Amino acid sequence: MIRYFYYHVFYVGMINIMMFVPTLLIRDRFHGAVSGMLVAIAISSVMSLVTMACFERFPGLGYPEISDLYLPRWLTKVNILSAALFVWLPSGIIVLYSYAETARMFFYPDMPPLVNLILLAGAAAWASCQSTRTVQFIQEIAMVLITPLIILFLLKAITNENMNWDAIRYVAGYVRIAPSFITIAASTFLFSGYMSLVLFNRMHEEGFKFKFRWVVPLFSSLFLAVTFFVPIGFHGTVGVQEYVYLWSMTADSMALDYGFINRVLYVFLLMFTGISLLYVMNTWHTTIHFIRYTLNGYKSVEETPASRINIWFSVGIGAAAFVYMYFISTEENQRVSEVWIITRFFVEILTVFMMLYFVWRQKKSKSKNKPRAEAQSAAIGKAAE
Amino acid sequence: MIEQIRKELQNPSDLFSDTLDNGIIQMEVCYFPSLCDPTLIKDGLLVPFSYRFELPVFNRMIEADPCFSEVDEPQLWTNLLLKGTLLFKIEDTVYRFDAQRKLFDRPDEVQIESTLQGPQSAMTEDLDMNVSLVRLRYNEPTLCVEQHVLGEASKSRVTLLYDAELVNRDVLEQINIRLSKVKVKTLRATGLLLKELSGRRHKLFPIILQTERPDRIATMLERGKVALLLDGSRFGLVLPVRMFDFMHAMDDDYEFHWMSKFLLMLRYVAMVLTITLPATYIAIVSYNPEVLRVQLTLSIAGSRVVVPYPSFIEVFLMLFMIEALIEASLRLPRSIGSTATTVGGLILGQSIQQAGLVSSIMIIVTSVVAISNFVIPNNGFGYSIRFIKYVFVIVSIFYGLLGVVVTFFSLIVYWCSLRSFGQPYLAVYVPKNEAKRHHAAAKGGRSS
Repeated sequence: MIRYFYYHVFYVGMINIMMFVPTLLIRDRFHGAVSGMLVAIAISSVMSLVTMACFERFPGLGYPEISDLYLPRWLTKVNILSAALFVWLPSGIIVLYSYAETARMFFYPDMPPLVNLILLAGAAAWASCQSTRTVQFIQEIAMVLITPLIILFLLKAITNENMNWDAIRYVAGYVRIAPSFITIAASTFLFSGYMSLVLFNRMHEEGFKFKFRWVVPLFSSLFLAVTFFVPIGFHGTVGVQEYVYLWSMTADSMALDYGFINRVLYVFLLMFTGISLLYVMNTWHTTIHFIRYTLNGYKSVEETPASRINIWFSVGIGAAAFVYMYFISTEENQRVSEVWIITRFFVEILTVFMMLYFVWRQKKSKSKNKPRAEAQSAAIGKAAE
Repeated sequence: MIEQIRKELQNPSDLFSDTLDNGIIQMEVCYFPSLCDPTLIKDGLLVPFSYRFELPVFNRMIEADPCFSEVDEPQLWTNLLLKGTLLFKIEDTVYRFDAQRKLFDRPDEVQIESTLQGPQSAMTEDLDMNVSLVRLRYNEPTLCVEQHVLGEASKSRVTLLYDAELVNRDVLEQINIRLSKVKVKTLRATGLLLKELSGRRHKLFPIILQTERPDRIATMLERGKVALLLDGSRFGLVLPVRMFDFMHAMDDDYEFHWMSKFLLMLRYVAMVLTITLPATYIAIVSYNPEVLRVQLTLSIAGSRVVVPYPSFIEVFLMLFMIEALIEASLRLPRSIGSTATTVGGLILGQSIQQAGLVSSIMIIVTSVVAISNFVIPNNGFGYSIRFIKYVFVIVSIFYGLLGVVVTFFSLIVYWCSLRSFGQPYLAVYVPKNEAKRHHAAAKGGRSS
């Protein structure tokens, strides 16, 4: 059931728009964004492929269980809890906030922002408290429904006659400027769909292999190119910095000639309702399960109906989103997302090295002596129980 | 024997009992004439008893014919009688003779799930007939038929059918657990059994498929599902099912490939329309008129010029009308039904728009909703869809178009979170034993 993994890669590749990645990239377009993106593609391709290879060696185990095998329990607990609270939880909240603001701006500007958030946070919280297996099914159905819209949108954008390819070539010419750090960090975010493995590796079976693993770098690079160059093509090399809601404005530059809807903006917003909710669902779901693991070592992937504790956690997370929205303005949200993107970059690198360490430990214990290796695999089996 | 039975049954007037004498031997007979088949009794028992009677020959017949058997335990007598068995006593031994009256000796005509070119026979209200109808279409030696008796008062026979080689053992285990937990006084219809087996009471969507077609049951058995037949009901239950099974009409299997795929797509489009259209109308009119292209927005606004109240009142008004119309035409005798539809649909629809109570666009919306709802092949699922559109309407009153989209996402979440006997309700493709592994994990086995 390896296909579920690639859905994570796809929607994370697209959600960057709600994480203000295009804004960060555009800001540095003359100061090393293009070369930064190239460096990021190299770094992220290596990191994603290495992480995938590492997780392949631990079928059916999420990051918490693997970490428990080789590290002391308290260290694992601290690790998991801080990852849940400082990486996974905020990312969902940031995206929810920026999508809620975008939707409010274009759908009903008169409505108070918090009222709008009730709907979105409610739906996301409800989705996130379901079991891991349910979450996977939701992802697939949602992706199947959204994909036609994405294809329509991309075709519309790339074949558009108003797109100025010279502007794109001009900006691409700045490739020789030394890369800036923030663009590298921001661009690697597009690739981090593979990080969902820390939880969703639990769904994988003994002896699974990632087929078509080249899809991850290929598609993420494609999304990166689209997210950076298409707005430049529409708004020009200088005009592009004028917009707060950059991509919504880009979508609004296109028109549908046939059909009920005239402005592509609405197609775009509908599409991003789905993608944002998917992203928020997954990050919050990971948060909930990480917290539950630190509390009582819970690691089942199937429970229907959703358990009480999950519901309480998701309600708490929804409330946290409210508090966040109440105190933080849109500009501050943008700054928070910048901090988050950089933090995430380092956490990701750390995770990759830890996974490498775990694999090294596994290999060492296997090669040292056979009986101990068997004990090891028995321990893995036991941890999985 | 007769005295005891009469005492136990409080001397019912419809019980026939007599002592017959053919000159050689005496026989006590008792049975309910209303439950038994008189020709069967005459040919099977009375003729051999009266003409050319010889005791060894008669005894040989009782030994050899499977319809006869000895009944040693007197406490079984009343039960057997009530099931339509004849009891007779010769030389201090009580025998039974199965002579149930068969009300149905031929398959019924399909009434609900009709097809154009498929088989036209449907199940009857007789269990044995139904089992034979299924066996006829699924003639495999591996087909298992299990008998259960449910209902404290009705003591209805329930038959479990499955292919022993294909069936998912987990599902079977869960069904047996749930069947043993069924506590009802009288089991009158499969709908009751469906509710009892579904577990949680407040489910919005059916997780068991109800069908009257033996060919559908046969195809489902072939896919490793389990069928339940209830005596006295002309519907069978099939489980576990996925959402897609409810959208499948039997014609899809019988017509040629591309056309049936096209019709399947059409059904899904119709389902989405019937769920979202009233809510979208509210959203477009009251919140987001700018979403549609200008000409369309203007014509919608133009048709609403005379309507004095907000769009959601209009929607509730029209939805109430159409629901009332459907409900009325369902219960009315067929001869009055057409009058109701003409008055309700044509005349009222026309004049309500001319009177300026609702816009003409709303009339179109209502008709599309009703027609699209009828496209759904399964009745139970259609009911759920009919209900769920009100949730969308209510959310769209407060949140407009975004509300509709988010509620649709929530609907997908709900569908995905449902399980039909441990199997996913909505998932694109899941290997057969995938669920098993995760169940093992949930119970404490290996999680991989």
